[in-house]
Amino acid sequence: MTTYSLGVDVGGTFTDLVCADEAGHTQTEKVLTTPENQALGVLNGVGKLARTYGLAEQDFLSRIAVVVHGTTVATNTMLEYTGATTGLITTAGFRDTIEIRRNYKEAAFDIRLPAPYQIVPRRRRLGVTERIDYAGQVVKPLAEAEVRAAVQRLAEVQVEAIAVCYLFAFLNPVHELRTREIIRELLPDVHISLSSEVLPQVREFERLSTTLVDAYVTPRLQRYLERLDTEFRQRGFQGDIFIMQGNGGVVGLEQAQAHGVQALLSGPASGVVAGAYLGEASGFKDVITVDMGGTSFDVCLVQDGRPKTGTDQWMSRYRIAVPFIDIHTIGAGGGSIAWVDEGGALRVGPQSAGAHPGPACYGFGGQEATVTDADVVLGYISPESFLGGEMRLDTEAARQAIETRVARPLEMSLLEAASGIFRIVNNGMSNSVRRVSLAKGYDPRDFALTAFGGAGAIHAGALIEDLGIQTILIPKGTAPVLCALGDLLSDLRVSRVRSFYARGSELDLEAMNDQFRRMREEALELFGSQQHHLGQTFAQFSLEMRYIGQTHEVTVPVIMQTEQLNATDMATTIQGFHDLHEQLYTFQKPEDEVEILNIHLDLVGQRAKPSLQTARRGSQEARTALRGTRPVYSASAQDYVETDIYNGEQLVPGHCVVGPAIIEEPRTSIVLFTGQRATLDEHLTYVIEVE
Amino acid sequence: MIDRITALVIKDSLEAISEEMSKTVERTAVHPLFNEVHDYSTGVFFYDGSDVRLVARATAIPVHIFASILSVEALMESFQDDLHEGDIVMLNDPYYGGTHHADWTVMKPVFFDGKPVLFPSVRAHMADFGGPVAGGYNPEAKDIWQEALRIPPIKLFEKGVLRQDVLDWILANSRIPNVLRGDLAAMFGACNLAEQRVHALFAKYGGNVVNESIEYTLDYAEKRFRAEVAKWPDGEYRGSATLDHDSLGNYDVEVKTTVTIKGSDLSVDLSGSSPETPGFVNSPFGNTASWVYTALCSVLPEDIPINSGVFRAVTITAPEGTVVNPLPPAPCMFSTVVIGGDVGTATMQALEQAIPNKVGSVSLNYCLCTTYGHDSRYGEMFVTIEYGNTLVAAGGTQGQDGWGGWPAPMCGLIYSTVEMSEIQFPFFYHQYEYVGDTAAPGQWRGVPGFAMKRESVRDTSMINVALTGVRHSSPGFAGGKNGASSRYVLNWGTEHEEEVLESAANRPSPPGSIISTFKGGGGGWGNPFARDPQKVLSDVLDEFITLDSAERDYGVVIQPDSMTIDTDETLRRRALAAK
Repeated sequence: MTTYSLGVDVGGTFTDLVCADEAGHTQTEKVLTTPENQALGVLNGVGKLARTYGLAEQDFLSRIAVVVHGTTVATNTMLEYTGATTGLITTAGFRDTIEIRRNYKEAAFDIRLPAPYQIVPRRRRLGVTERIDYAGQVVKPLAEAEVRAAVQRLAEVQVEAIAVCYLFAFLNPVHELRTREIIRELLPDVHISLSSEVLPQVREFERLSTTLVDAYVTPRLQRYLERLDTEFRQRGFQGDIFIMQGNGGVVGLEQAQAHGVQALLSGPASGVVAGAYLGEASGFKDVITVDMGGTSFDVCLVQDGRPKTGTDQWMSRYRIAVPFIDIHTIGAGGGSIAWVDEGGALRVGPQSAGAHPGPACYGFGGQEATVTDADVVLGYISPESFLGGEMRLDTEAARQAIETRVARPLEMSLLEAASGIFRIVNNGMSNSVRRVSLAKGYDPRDFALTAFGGAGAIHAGALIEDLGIQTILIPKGTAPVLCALGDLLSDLRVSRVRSFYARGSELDLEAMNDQFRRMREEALELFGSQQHHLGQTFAQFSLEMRYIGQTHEVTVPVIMQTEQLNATDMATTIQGFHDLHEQLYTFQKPEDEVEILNIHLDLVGQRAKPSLQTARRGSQEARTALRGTRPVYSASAQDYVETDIYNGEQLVPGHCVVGPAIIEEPRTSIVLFTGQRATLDEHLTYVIEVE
Repeated sequence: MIDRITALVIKDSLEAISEEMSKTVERTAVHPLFNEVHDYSTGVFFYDGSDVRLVARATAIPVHIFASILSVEALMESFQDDLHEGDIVMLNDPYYGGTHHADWTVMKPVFFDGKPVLFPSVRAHMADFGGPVAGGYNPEAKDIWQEALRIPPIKLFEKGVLRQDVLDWILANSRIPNVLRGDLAAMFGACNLAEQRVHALFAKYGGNVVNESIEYTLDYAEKRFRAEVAKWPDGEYRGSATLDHDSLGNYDVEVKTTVTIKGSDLSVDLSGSSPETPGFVNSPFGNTASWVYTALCSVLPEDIPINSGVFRAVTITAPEGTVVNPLPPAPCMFSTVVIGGDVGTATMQALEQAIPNKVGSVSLNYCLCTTYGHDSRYGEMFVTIEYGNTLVAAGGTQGQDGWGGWPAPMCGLIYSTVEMSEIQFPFFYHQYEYVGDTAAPGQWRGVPGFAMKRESVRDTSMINVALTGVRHSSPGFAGGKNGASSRYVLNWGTEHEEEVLESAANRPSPPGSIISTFKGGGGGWGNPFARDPQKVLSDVLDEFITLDSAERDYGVVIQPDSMTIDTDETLRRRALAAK
């Protein structure tokens, strides 16, 4: 009997499914998302897939061994502020840390900037007497009576979750642990998030904010996952469910339900995972992934097949400092509105026309000129073959919008205005790529650019010209369900951070090896019942290091010859720190003492994954797919030039198209400039190279 | 004519370079003033052969906005034809390209066609740089030589080679030379990185296109600024602000402003301000101008680039010999926050008459608390500025209560955390939070006042404090009430308790002694009796105000048992008050 693995990704509009059989053949499905209960949309998609396979739903579900699921429930909870009624118990005298937020304001000058919505208002933030000092010593014991009184007070307002965050609890969690026992005793059903578990790391604001968000989003995520699990099992499913996390890995259902904060931003993360996988399949381990959709542009750097992670995220104005895939987002997409400001400058975004009314060319009554309208006017998108011909675009409306909103106010020709929009939006995106590469010491020219999203392929050709990148990768086959594919391809991954202070010159290797061992054991335990799914497990330790006196750390991977860290390994790691510091900031101080602050562990458990089928390469001759020609804007000619148009659906592996040309795919078009040449490879990825 | 699209692309790239410099400094500097607190600014300046212009700056400390132009001007004047590729210049002289001794500017000329054209620069508040008092704030200083080491423009690198003797001399004057060395390295790093990026721009577009784009960028900012000012009613508007004292027994130092709006022209005249004063609050012109711009930018749309295009659309007059344009050797160390802040307040008070719906507090009514000593844990000397003593200042504005800590323009500065402070310094904090019933009432209230109790542990440290906003607290706007007065107590809770009303220098704080501070927040906006009663109730539930305050300050009567608003009684009280 054939068994299947299923990847399911719930996005804002669509729920995408990818199902792979043991041979690696895939089927995909796309259904509408059901925002009220995402499980309904998921089941609808499963039903459709079952029909594709000619199986009864029950039969199909019983053959699915593994479901890997990316959900936006946690993300939406933060975006909409619809989380649990949450209370905070904290050290007395430090009640307002979350509101003061270290003086961060998201404005340079605007004194009228609205305050962030308080997910835990002051009336539910209660202080209790207790104190631990900088060395982890208890200096004031926990006043248990005050804890009880605080819990009673929170019980009166029917809290569903309680966050506990005490000063220096990351060094000594004794008071947080005892507080949890007391809460459990009085309120056995509330969800509890302890700062010493969510983020055992110095700096109380960052730890507190992360812990509050965890407490706030977890109950809703828990309920959703329980319901999904029940619905699946009632219909005959007997396999395992994994949940995608913001760090680009997956964890088992139980673990996912414990800490909701980890599931934030998992949607874009799975796109990056898929981008990394496809890049590697086509022979490129170092890629920069760019995802340009309707409203936003997400960029991430992948080195040696591994997406970069970072701890600098903010979400819905809350600081979240657990390790996430480091995605840089700007408000630039196909729907971004072009406008002329009072100083006579052409601006693009961050406002977006969204899906309704959308760009003027959609013909839904949108009057604004958008990036997509410019792409239509420039000839990059054909009005006839948009969405595989399902939707005819109104070129005249696009011209009209750009004429009225941009060309006339700027006293430019229509063509100048449209190409101006194209250049401005591209420049914003190039700068954003520079921020994840150059600004972090990586030369973008050493990377390939993997582009996806509806508008990614249209703009990628221009981006690489600007950035000096030599290769673009554009996934063809699975592009529309890329995030679901990413889910399917993700490994189990637990990312843990622990404080560990030492100076480089007086490091106790034994103590560090001890800590490594403990962290590895703890992390393995979190894989729990999923351990039987694992092929290899592989632990990557990193150290957060800095020169003495600095207060920002550089995360340096530890390279170990064996399971035990020895003096040579440590010397290599310290040298790695000096080098990385220079790569990031142009200088190193080899004579200065180095200190270690935290240990990071990324424990990856490789799941057995379907190896996707590849096709065979045929001849290079792609003329059979030539659809004809049409006038397309050329920057060098500053005018329209008659250009070859290819039908992507008729291109097969091996086919090669030389620019200037456009390849029309059902959901996007690939714009090839002069000197760019696209080959469809056996993984159904367009590899575009600069000649 | 320059291709406008290319000009916009170059403008954005220069701003991205400033931001990247800023990140480099933040991540690599040593002292918490940089990496935790962000008391520095980065920018790119342009020299067209005769004038220096600010082209792009990263979001950072507003008091540095304008002053850095004077730094680059001083550099050009000092070195003229003696600038070479690889040179790095620094200065801190308050009367020659600076504002106060603590702010050091490091600049690197970037050449095109053999001429210095662009100058990436970092201006930062250094922790200690020589002088009688650690950290440089000497409330007893009577001239600038009693404040700190005065450094005119000097080369620290010449043709790419470090001038070790010069650096050694600078470091020898600091109490914490290693920290200073590390911080300077971070500033050099940022300038070197910017040089690489600027060279890439030149290589891609050529010098002429870059120069023309810069002109376009400046014109653009000016146009945006003028379009905004043209919407404001013409007229002559006056404002004033009063500083409690200058730390040397001179009281009620005044700043006066007259803002004149005519069409799209705007001028700010500070005539009538007090003559320069013996104490350390005198504000050199660069500092005064920076604060005028801080107030103006706070009422402008956020997306107007702040560059010399804006500066050339404004005329600022500040008579010499006054507290807003002192002559050397008047001491000036404290001016970047007080008098400077008063310039901001006085400018806002004038603007209040023209555009009441846009105004609010921009200044801090800053209270100073520096501490230095020896930390036996590390066997090292430390010098630090405390911010917990002066953590709130945001005021109400139309549609928004004051929130967080400081007003937005001052929020480039990020407070250290209690945990990092206790690790880095011999302190133990007992309290660090808002205080109930201290927010300035208004239809939109100010941020609540803030209390800090900090104990010295293990080692005796030395404390310097200087208070403002005791007699003249933050003013309200459009009918809002003033903020609360600040209050400091040394040796709190002991028989040696001492309330400081003005300033205190070099007070020993032995282990176990506690400094207790209260800082008032910014003023309210609009009549408090017009505040939405639901918001008043919400403030009661959040323990920001008591039931008494709800009734007295807002005319809102709340039933204590049910915690519901007594609507009839509230309407009656408010009607009565309106008579």
